[in-house]
This record gives sequence, structure tokens and C-alpha cells, in this order.
Amino acid sequence: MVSIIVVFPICVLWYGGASAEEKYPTRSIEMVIPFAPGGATDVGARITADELAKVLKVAVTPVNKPGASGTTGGAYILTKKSDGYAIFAATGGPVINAPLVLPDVSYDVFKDFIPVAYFASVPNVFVVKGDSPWKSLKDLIDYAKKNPGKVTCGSAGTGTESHINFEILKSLTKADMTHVPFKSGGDVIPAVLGGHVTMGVNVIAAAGPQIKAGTLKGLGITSSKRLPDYPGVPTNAEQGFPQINVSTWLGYLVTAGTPAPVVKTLAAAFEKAIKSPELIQKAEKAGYVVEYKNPQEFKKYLEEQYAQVSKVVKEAGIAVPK
Amino acid sequence: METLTSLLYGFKITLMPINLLYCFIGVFIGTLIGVLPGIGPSATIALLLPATFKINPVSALIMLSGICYGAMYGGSTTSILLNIPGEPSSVVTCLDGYQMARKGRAGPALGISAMGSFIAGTLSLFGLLFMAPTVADLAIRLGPAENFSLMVMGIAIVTFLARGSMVKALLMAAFGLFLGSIGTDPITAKVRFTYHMRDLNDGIALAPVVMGLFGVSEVLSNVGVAIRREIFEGKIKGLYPNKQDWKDSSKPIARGTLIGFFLGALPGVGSIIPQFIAYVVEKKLSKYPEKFGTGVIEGVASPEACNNSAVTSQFIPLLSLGIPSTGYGALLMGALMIYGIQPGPLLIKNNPDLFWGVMASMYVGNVLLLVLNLPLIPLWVRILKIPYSFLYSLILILCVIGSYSYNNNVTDVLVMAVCSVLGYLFKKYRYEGAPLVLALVLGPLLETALRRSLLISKGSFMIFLTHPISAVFLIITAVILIFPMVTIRRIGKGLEAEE
Repeated sequence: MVSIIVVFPICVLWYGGASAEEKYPTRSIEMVIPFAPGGATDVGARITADELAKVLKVAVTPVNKPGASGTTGGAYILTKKSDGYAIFAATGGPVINAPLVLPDVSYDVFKDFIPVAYFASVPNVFVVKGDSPWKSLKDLIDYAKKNPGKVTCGSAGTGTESHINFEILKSLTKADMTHVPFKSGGDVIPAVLGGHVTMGVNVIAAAGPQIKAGTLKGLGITSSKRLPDYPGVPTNAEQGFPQINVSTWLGYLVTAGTPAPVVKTLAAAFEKAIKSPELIQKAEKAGYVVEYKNPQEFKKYLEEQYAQVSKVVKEAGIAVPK
Repeated sequence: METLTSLLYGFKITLMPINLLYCFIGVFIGTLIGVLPGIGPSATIALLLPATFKINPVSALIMLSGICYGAMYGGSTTSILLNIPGEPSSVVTCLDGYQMARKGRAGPALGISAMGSFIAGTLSLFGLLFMAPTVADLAIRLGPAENFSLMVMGIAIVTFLARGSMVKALLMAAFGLFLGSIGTDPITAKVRFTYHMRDLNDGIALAPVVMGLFGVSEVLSNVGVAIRREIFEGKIKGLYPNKQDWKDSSKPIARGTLIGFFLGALPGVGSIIPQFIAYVVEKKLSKYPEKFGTGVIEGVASPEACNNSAVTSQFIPLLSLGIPSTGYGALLMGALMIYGIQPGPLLIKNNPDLFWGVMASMYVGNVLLLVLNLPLIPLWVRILKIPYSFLYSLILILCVIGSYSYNNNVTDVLVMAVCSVLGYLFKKYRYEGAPLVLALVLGPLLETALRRSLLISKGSFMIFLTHPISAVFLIITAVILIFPMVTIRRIGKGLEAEE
């Protein structure tokens, strides 16, 4: 009896202590995706999870927790232990846009999360119907100024990157254009194709096939350089609008409080995974522009984006009142 | 001619043993998840996606699309036997299918549902091959204004669902509209009626509501009531549809197929609304409309045909334009992107083996499904012989797991629980669930379409009349609403005499 009382706690403490010293990771890791399966984020996150599992030699299981513009996923991962076994596949939506635009988001990306790796961006592109008369953003803006109120622009929803890009365009050119929010990026394309809205803003991954087929025309893209796959689409920067550069990005974070050695291991693993040629190939086929950023660069990027989006939200007044 | 040669090419691809195997696996899994409430094609495709990275894209897509239409076959099984929709879109089959089962006619219901699904699947496949460009074009032409008018037409048919008191049906519809407004305002992103419960930000999901309202409430109503047994036990007369059933169902199947084919391809409409429309059309055209809701075979044949042809026709905008019109369609697009295939207008040109292979596999899949489902009918019917204590526990377990698996969220289970209590009360006081479900689906769509249209037209309501398709829908609505007033025959009349 005594031996059990003595030996048992020793064993527990031993193993308990031992696991703290064992190399992370020892069991499967959950990747929380705050969007529905099949969407752009989901595709990219799953590709990465696959590659990361190869590097870390444990299973990386994607779990979808969609809802509330991504904040459901954010709230969910904050309920988990900060031990490195839950990774948040985040885009600008849940960590930057939502806290700035929506009224009841309880977390803050800088206080509650640690950036681990920036994966890729999906540039946003301004599109119009393929047979429309405008050949550049300037043509469209001139038309908008001559016909105030006639130009409508579809976006993926209030507070999304596409909406914010449109607001920046509006505030820079002071043209009178109307924003028409849709439920998701996927709904913008049919609306433009059918002529129901004059223009749309969407991720290049979704609009790309239509641009290649000629049914849509790309007037301006938010990336800093023209994309090799779409040489005919000029960047916003070369047309005089370098500020319209809010791309939809995808990065990985863990919750604050995760031990530093775990974060370091994870960051190294992500670096290896994201730089692997297989992953880059798969991701580019899916429409991503892969540009790895390490934790410090990622943090800096988050701060820049936060400041920029903050400014736009305030000026355009698109924050939803509490 | 060219289409036929391409189709033969597609058959060559599909009939390769490996693709046949994947087709079979796909439709088998599809039927399984269709039968299980809650988990649907979207969740399954998401789960199986990593496994498909290793196999070639054509085989993978054959399997994944098999899951989609297989689910439509399976969804009706639990709807008919247990009054639980296996897929949210199978809720219309519950209305008459379950009543048929209670009368001992579960076998014919399942049989007609399987055959109707097969006929619809095959016919719509041919429709797809020869009419794809037309339908794809139609899909794009529907913008917010046309959507609004279509939804108004949908709301107008709510009145035809009413079996008993019209006032009660309208009350249920109003309640459904209210439930549909809970959540984030689609245009301004303001949150309504959620009382700070973040999980309600995206609104009340349909699947848990339907499971609670129909399935679990049935369980609750029967607890403590010991008499039901004989209805199920004694009279299982005939396991397969008889000649009369075939005669009655042939035209409904044809009509259901047409309705599902054209409406299923339209983005934003989904597969539930066409089924309600198909059901109501049958009711209107029938010689005994008052019998709808008590277990008439037309009420099963038409919606079942409709949902199968809708799932086939949603491939039209998906594969020819790269525009998905359903949730699982979006997932299939995501899968294609991961495989490195770009969905869009160039898909047919760049990947003909994929396109034609999948098309041919849909025919093969339908055949496989028929062969799978028909012989299983006696087995399914035996489920009804399970003692209630086990059967109802099974239903409860299925519904709880089903509502959780919908979004990995416990709130959905709570929603289901609340709806089951509500459903029990509704049953006791003779309020019907169907108008509520229709309004819950239509309400958000209607509101969103209205506000987007007004944004585009800068506040002018004339947009609904200046767009020709929209005007047509509105005129049809007006006709539907005025028609009963000028004719003596009313649908609820027979029932009032009955009461």
C-alpha cells in the first residue's frame, strides 16, 4: 500500500516532468482554420498542414471552425492550452479586420497571439466584365467621375480586404461609387459576369480563370509586381495607387503563452515547409504568391497592416458601432 | 455529334476499372452520409481531401462527385423512415414520405424515391450535356434583382403548403422569417438578435432546426404514448411500388426533374427551394390536394426527382464557368485548385478528360446507386420493426451527433434541442413545420437580395420591373396569389370539411 502511494506520484511527476523536457512535438497538432472548407484559406492551410506534417513527423490535422468573419475560430483557439499543439491559420480577416470593424471581438492580435510564420498572399484584383470599354483603372475612374453614382462595386463582404481596397480607391480618387457587399468572394464573380455590378474586387485565385478566359478583365492588382501568370494585369502601384495594396494573406500564429522553445521549433519547421519546392508549386497552382516571413518580419507586417487598415476604417467610417 | 464522341471518350475513361472502383466508393460513401443526418457532402469531402492528394485528379473528382449525388439518394431514407432529414434538403421528403411509412407504405416510398432519383439523375445528365451553355448563361443572368423576385415567388408558395389553418401557417412563416433574421446583417455587418452569443453571428443553421423540428420532436411526441405499434407492425403491405404507384408518379417525376434542373443551377438558390416548389406544383396540379401531407406518393416522387436533378445541374456552372452554386460545389472547386486544375471557362478545353470523365461517371454512378439502393429496401423497412426504445434512442444519438458535426459547434446542438421542444409544442397545437422551414431558408435570401438590388439601383424599386427576368417572376407571383381568389376551388377547403 505504502509503496503504491509513494511510487505512483513519483511516476506521475517523472512522466509529467519528462514530457516537458521531451522534444516537441510528441502528438498530433491541430490546425484551426477559421473558415469553411473549400475556401481559399482552407486550401492554402491544408496544403501547408500536409507539408508541415512531413517536416515535424506528426500528424497536423486541419479543423474548420467557421463563423463570424473568422472570429469564431479565433475565440476557439484561445480556449486551448498554449502548448504549441494548436496553430491558428489566420488571414487578415479574423486578426486585423474583424477586431477593427466588428463590435464584439474580444481578442487582440498583438496581446493574445504570437506570429510564427507568414505563408503567402493572394493579391486582390479589380475586375470588370471582359467586353467592357475600360482598359485601366484610370478609364474606370474617369467614367465614374462623369457618372456619379452609376458605378457599383461588389466585394466579399463588409470589412473584408476587398471592401477595404475599394474604400482606399474611393478615398484616393473621391469618385462617387457604391459599395455592394456580397456574402463571400465567390459571389462577386457571377455578379460581375452578369453585369449586375459594374466592377468587383476579388482574390486573383478566384478571378484568375475568368481573366485567362477573357470573360473578365483585370484592371489593377494589389501585389507589388505583376504576377507571372497574369502579365496583362497592371499593378495598382504602377497606375499611381500604391496605397491600394491590401492583399488577402495567410499566416500562422500560436496563442500567447506558448513556451519560447516550442515557438522556435515550430517557426523552424514552418520555414522548412514553406520553402519546400513542392509546397510552393502546389500553392502557386492554387493562386497563392508564396513569400515566407519569419516571426519578427511577420510581426512587423501585422503592425503595418493594422495601422493601415485602422486608418481606412476610421476615414471611411466602416466600423460597426458597438 | 461532337458531344456524343466526347461522351464516348468520357465513358472510356470512366469504365476503366480503377475509376469504376472510385465511383463505387464515392457513391457508397455518399449514400452512407446521406442516410446519416447532420454530416453532409461538404464535411465528407473536406475529410477525404488529404487522401485524394495521392490519386490522380480525374479519379479523385469522380469519387468526390459521387459523394454529392449519392448523398441525395441516401438523404431520403431517414426522411421517410424516421422523419429526420438525412440532408437538410431532404426535409420536403419528410412531409409525405414519413406519413407513407406510418401507413405501412415505407417500401413503395423508398422504391419510388430511388427510381425517381435515378430517372432524374439520368435525364438531367442528358440535359446537362446538351443544354449546358444555355443553363450556364441563365445562371449568370440572375442578379440580386432576379433573385429577389424569385424569392418573392418562393414566399408566395408558402401559402400553398398549408394543410390546416391558413392563419397558423402564416404565423409559422412569420416566425421563420424572424429566425432567419437572427445574426449578422449581410450588408452592414451589424449583429441582430444574438444577445452577444457569438455562435449565433452567422444565424441559425438549417440542419439543426430541421432535425429538432421534425425528427426529435417526433420522438418527444411519442414518448409515453404506447399505441403506435400496430400502425407500423401489421401493415407493411408490399415492399416495392405497385403499378398504381408507378402510374401516379411518372408525371411528378418528370416535373420534378425539370424544376430541379433549371433551378438547381442557379447560384444562391440551393436545393431546398426547388423541392418546395416541386412539392407545391404537384399539390396544385393534383386531383386531391387535400391529401398532400397524409402520405401521397406524388409528394415523395417529385421532390426526390427534383433534388437529384438539382445536384446534377449544379455541376453546369461549376465546371463550365467555375461558379459553384452550392456549398459542396465550392469545396469541389477548392479540391480542383489543390490538384492544380483551374476551374473556370477553360476547364473543358484544358482538361477534357476530367470534364467528360466526370460526366460519364455520373451516369455510371446513378446506375450503381440504383443497384445499391433497391435491394436494400427490405432491409431499411425492417428498421421500423425495431422496438421504440431502441429506435428513438438511435434517433436522438443521430440527431445530436449530426447537429454537432455540421459545424463542429455545440451551439448547433442547443439549437436542435430548443427546436425539438418547439416542434413538440407545434405538433400538439397543430402548427406545421414546413412553412417555418421555407421561410427560414427564404427570409435571409430575400432580404439580402432586396437590399443589394436597392444599393445597385440607388433606392429605386423600379429595378425589379426593368429587369425582364425579375418582372416575369413577379408577374407569376401575382398570378399565383390572385388565382385562388378568382377560382372557387381552394386547397385547404377539403381539409376544413374534414376538420
